[in-house]
Amino acid sequence: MKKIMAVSALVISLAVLTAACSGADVVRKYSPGSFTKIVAAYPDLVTDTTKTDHYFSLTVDGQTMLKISHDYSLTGANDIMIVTPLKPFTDAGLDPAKLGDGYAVSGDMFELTADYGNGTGMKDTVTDSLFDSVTHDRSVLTYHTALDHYGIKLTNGKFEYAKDYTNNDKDIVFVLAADPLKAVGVDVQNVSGWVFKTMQNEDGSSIDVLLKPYDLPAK
Amino acid sequence: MNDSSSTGSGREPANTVSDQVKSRNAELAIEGMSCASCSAAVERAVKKLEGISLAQVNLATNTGSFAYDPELVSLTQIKSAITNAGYTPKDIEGEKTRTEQEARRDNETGKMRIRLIIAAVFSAPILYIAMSHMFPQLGLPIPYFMGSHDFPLIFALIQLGLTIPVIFAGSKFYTRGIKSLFKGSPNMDTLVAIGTGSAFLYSLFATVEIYLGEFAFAKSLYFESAAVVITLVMLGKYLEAVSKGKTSEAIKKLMQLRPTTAVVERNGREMEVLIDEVLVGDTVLVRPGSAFPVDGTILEGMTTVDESMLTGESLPVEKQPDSEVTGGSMNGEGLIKYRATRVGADTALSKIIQLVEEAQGKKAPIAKLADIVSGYFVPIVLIIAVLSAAAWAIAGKDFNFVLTIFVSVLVIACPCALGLATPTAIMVGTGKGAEFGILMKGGEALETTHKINAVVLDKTGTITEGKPRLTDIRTYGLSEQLALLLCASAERGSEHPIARAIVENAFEKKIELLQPDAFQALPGRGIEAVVGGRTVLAGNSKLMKEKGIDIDEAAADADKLARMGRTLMYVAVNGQLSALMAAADTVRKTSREAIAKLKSMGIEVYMITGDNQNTAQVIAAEVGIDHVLSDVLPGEKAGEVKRLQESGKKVAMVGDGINDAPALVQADVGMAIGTGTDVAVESADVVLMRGDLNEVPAAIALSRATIRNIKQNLFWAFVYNLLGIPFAAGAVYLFGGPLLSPIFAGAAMAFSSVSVVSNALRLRRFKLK
Repeated sequence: MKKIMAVSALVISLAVLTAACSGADVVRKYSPGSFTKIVAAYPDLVTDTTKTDHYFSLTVDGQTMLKISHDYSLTGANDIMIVTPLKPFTDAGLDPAKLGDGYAVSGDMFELTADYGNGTGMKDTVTDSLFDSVTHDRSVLTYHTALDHYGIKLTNGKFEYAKDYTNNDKDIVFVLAADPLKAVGVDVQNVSGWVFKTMQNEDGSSIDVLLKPYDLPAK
Repeated sequence: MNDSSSTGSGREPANTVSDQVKSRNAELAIEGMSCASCSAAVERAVKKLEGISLAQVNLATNTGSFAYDPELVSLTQIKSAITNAGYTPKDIEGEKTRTEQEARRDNETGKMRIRLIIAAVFSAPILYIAMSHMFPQLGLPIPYFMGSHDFPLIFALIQLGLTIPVIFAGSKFYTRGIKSLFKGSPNMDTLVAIGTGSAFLYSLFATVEIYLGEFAFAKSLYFESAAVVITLVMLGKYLEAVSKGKTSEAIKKLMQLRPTTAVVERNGREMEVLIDEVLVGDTVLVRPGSAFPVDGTILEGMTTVDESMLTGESLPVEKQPDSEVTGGSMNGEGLIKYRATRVGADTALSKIIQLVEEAQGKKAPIAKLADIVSGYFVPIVLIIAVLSAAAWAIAGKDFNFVLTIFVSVLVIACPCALGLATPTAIMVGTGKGAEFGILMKGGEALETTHKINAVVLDKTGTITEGKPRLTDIRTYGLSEQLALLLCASAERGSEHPIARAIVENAFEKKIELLQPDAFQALPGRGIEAVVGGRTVLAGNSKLMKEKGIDIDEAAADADKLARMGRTLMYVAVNGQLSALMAAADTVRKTSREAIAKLKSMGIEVYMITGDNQNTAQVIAAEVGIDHVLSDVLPGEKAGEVKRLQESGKKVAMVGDGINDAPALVQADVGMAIGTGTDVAVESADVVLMRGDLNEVPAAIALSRATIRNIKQNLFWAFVYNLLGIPFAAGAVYLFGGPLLSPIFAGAAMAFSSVSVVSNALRLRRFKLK
């Protein structure tokens, strides 16, 4: 029995060691795949304008979109952006002049920006471009257990997508932190097109957010 | 005592001569038992053999007592049956190895402590990690790379890595538990092994799933349950082992009394030898402040001896040449030279140790219920665990919930508390009794003693000192000197206390006694002898009537002396009443106090004596006894006890254990009052070594306290399981209450065992009032 136990322990230890060496960061390992599957399944979701403005644009409704630079060294502090119409926010009391870092206004569009440094060079695909941010800082990538979502953090928001879009009713979610907007006069519970919600952080703390979720049509 | 004819070398005390041919006893140490199911399994395995009349296994002492017919079964076969049941029988080879056994047990406890420390060191971080995950609101800081959401595999692997050493530290649960499961006698280890093993294996599966990308399994890890449950059960077992060690402290104290060496005088030279090398007849020297190494008789020197550890008597006893001394007692101020009369296993101390050990190993009838329950307990718990898990699964609960139920039921069910409830209390109770000089011969004696509601006290030697003095001589036709000469000469061969008082009186008066030509003892009546050609009859009025002696002449004297509480002896010479001799015995200083205590405990006290009614009433009145059984011949004492029993009383008979032997046997509890070195030890259920009647109420009070303690233990053990198992099975959850986590189930399990043993240890604080 002792021998069996010893052999079992050895096998388990080897398995642990092997697992550890071959990539214990499974969220990092599997998250690009999920994103790739979504954009592959819904080719209309992403528009490639990298040749003109260096960005891939991902949008479901054509209004709110995620813009991802294919070369962070060329896009300054705007490597990844959530871009959405400004009007619902100004209607809810936003004073654009008061916006701080991580926000920008471009014409009638409201932008949440994020700077991930200079990146690792020009990327050919939207997935590689998105995950260059994770290469820069692993903590940018999150996994939201309750919703089974991966997430890419921006300065004042987050872009989330379903780990398995076939089994999720919120395949794409844009998330804006509510508190900074509240601080610049936005009545966060009354922003048209956005859902106000108090969410639970993974560390147990709560956070107020504005959400815009999309359920992609079944394929 | 070893039986050389046996096939093994287990301790085999010889039985009575009539039994020896057909039955033999063996006592074995049994290793590997962890709970009452184990002891029940060993008993079952041995009882299956042909020729076994007794198989009694004590979990608290890890020993088994077996009675068997050597023509049908051998000790080797008994050992094989135990081995086949999954346990290891070991010989108990007597006192020599007792110290080694102690050392081995200490060593084992030390190893348990190390394993527990390893388990605790690795379990603590697992618990911390799991708690920070389960209760994020606690705000417990945890390194970023160990977060269960962002790094689920690392989160799982770290817990796995921490759990493996805990599993190894508690590997005995798995080896013993799985072995006993395959042997068909699952035990507590089986429950722990299956419970924690299920949790561990499922967590391992969850880890693989996480590795394959199913991060939700990070919420389905039960590594902390497996590790913490093992650690808690180990903690319970460790505390139990430490506590069990304390229950045998009384034996240790007795063993520590004896020095390891002795100074003997051989061939005119003093030499220090090992105590085992002291021989009967050796002259032993004991210096002031040293302990007597063996039993013996003082040759030279005067001293006081502290015998408190043997008899409980706090006052030192004066000793002089010809006084008996007991090995283990402490010499006072004198330098003593004495002859060894009993050495090795024959000494009083060795016999006491053996008696206490045997008593601690014997089960009380009250233990039977726990034994029966625990025999079926583990299989029933396994069934309950499977059924409750299945029921919740059918009710639509997810796998995590079902697993929690399954593991919690297995882990919370603890037959160890049931198994420990009785033997630990008996060990502490009998050990405590030994400290007071009260030797209880087993659990049955201890249990029966608490039911006693009538105590019959023999008068001579029990209520009184048993050393009567001759106080009066009335003569009828002979001179006092001649009457004393004839009577003392006739009585010189008698052992009766009054006969000895008459002989002593003659010696004091420097009367030279004659050698009787013929002598016949007439039990219960007196003696008949021929002295100097004259026929001398000495005895009570019954003897005189039988022999047709007219004693009317002495009637007035007899009446007067009897009213004074004197014991009378008529003397007839050549068929004529010649003298009436009266003796008085001194009432023991503590008799009245002891009898008052017994009465205050609601116990009826009877005095039994061969004296006539008048004499008996005087003594009874002096000590406060209301019920007197007088004019009872030695052979009739048992009948008197039986009559009391037939009237519905539970009777304890207290006597000196020699002439009262039949009554001691007849009584529900026979209590021998004396030194504990003679026949009394063999014939009685309880031996009161101090020779103090106060030990009778003390023995009953100790018995009552012990039985109360056992009942408390059994109550809590049963209640714990009756409440704990349904709680773990989700009965409370069903009505909106909480679901029991396996961790809390493990803690409750450990607590139940520890609480039972701790409750038993409270008896150590028992004090004589």
